[in-house]
Amino acid sequence: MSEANSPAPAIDLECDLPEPPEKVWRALSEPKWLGRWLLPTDLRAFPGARFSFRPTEREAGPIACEVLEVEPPRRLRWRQREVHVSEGGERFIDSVVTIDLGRNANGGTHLRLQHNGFEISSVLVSSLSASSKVVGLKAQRRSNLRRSELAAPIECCLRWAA
Amino acid sequence: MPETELFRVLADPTRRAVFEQLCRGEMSVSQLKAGFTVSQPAISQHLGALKDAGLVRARRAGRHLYYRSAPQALDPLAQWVQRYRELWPARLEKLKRVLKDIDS
Repeated sequence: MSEANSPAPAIDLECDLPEPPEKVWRALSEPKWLGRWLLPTDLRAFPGARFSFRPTEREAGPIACEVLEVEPPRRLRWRQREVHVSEGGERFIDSVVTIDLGRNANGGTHLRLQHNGFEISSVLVSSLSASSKVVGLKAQRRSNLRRSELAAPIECCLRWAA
Repeated sequence: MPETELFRVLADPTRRAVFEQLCRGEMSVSQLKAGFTVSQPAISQHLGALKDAGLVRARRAGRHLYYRSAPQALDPLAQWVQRYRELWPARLEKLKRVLKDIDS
């Protein structure tokens, strides 16, 4: 997932929040709070942790993720893999999300969110026959993913010391 | 053409701007040239690269060639990025509201 392979434009957003970084960090690293503004999740904020997000759309499968960097309360970075179904077949769309928190002059937080490294990687090999309808394919894919590497969402709270 | 190749074709900012301009409507080369500081041969070179990648199409009307973008050629990666371009600001607004609920 190198940048050189992916010159696609990135998302790069910044904003200022009145709350201090320690509090904002809780909204990033605790699944109970992260699920309220992002997506339901079983994130555990330590390096290498695998977790998932569950999109609210019924047809969408879970987004498989892995924590790349954790530096409380300054940086959280993960990579994610989504499945995209098109006429050409099923593909993974991989990307990296980085959230940086800095302390601003008012004691609040300056947040920077980058979402980049978008890449289409390997085509999923489907075990279904070519005559399967797309709807059937999606349902099969979802259950395949559940059986394989993606854990069911678990309630987990991780508190970081301020 | 593989999707990552399409993004290499669009890596040049002028070329990207030509593509985006042609997303807004059909134009001849001279009409396009009016909106850019680069030379007409440079515009033509960009149009050639975009046409080879399937990102723009040309239509002949008499003596003139009119170009138009075919943004569907960017499927699915650009659509994906675009979706997140709209999604993240909305999520950050939600974050601001959620933060008010977290007691310190």
